[in-house]
Amino acid sequence: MSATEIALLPIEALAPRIEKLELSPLELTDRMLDRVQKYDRTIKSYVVVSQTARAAAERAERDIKEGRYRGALHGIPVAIKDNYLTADMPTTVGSKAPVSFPLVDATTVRRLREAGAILIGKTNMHEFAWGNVTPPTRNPWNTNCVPGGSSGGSGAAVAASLCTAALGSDTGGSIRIPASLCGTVGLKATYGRVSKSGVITHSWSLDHAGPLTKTVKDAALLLNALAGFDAKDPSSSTMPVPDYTKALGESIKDLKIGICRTHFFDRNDADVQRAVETAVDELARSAGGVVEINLPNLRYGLGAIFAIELASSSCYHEKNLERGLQRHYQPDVRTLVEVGKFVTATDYLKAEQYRRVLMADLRKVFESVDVLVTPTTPITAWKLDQSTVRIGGEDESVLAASWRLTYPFNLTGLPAISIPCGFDSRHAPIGLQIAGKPFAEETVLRVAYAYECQHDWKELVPSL
Amino acid sequence: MEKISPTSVAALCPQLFGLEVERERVEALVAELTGILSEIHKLRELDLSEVAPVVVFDPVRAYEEGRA
Repeated sequence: MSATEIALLPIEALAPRIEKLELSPLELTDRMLDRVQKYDRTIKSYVVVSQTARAAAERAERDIKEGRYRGALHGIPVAIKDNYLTADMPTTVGSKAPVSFPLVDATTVRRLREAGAILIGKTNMHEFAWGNVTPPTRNPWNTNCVPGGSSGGSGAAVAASLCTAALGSDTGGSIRIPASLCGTVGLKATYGRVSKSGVITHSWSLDHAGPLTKTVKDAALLLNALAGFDAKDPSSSTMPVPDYTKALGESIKDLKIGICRTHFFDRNDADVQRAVETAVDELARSAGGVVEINLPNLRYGLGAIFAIELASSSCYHEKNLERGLQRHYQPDVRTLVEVGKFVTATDYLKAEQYRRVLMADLRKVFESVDVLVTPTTPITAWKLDQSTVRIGGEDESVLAASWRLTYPFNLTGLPAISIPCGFDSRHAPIGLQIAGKPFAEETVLRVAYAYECQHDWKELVPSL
Repeated sequence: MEKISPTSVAALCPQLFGLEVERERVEALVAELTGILSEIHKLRELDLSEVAPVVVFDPVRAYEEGRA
């Protein structure tokens, strides 16, 4: 197998080779670092490449040779979004502002190291996780297009095989949007399932940490390592952690698919709509049926997430605002951080009341269905200089459109995954979103895997 | 914050974040706020007076976490 072919493989294919000593973690890490050097001048997905990755790979190799194989992530090169604290690499949160962060590992970073993963670098992100563009990162499928955001560096790096998997964070869609636009898998588990300790805050009750991967099984393998209670995170759940790979491959005949025509299907790009409708038809044949549901209260969702996200972000940045440091922020981010100061306390609390209403609606929905299936984004990757998109005869800001279908699952904290489901007429990837009940990650992954197995989307890679 | 105008925003900025804000920044804030507040206004239409916010104060949990 050539060096390129090795670099393109997912964890599920690499791990058995590493375990059997057919593939050396050091060789794999070197191949990946070579690719970063060769291709990242164009893709610009990394902020910093680790100086300790080779030493970690050597250690992994030695451990495996001496019989201390730790599991599927041992020797696998993983990239980390630049809002996770790391002990051996600086954290900038995508900002040039004079703020500094400690050199310690976030809980999730520590868990990856304990699982034997090789952390090869930190990936670019939209400043302070506040946007869906991630300059200067480019989309590997079309370098004139954005990778999405805010975990755009992670999405681009996974799609371009500049790492085998990556960590991202998701406050309104920031794992799933770049996954959709870059043609990767992106998983946001239930709020509280993955520790956020050591992940720089954007909005306390909306932030989620999670993986971007090449396949659904890889996402399950990452979640196995990342999930679990962490006393350092007040929102961390004590729910037991199952083996998320266990149910993959089981029939989904016992599951019902829910479709919400309003909100999720009423304003999508025609190619996206076609691809997702086809995916729903296919899932309908494999599953135990499709049930059409309605969530009329979603029309209030944008106001609610604005109130919570803006107010929380401004509260987090209060100290920087007092020092006038927002002058160093990018103009779009500065505006949003300042705008949060205009959200009133009553609007914030109203939004928190609304979340209970939406959760009650979803509880009723999930009495008749097991998962909700939607497009991840109503549009595919847009041009770097594009600010609006025409959908259904109306112009809409690309930023407003891009998170419309993802943020409901941040307001509700429900698990949601984005998987590739085709390409548009410009050969830009299209994402399919599957969401489930609280802590039903196994069901979400099982449905995603059933769909993935029927297609070869994961075999298609961008030519760099 | 019912009436959004460059004048009202400029007047509030020093109070809210301790800075006099230059005119182009005020315009950016007004542009962003207009769209955001129209969505928040929709939310205000809902009568949720009998609904408790989803984030509920839990003194026992907070107390125990304080111990850690």
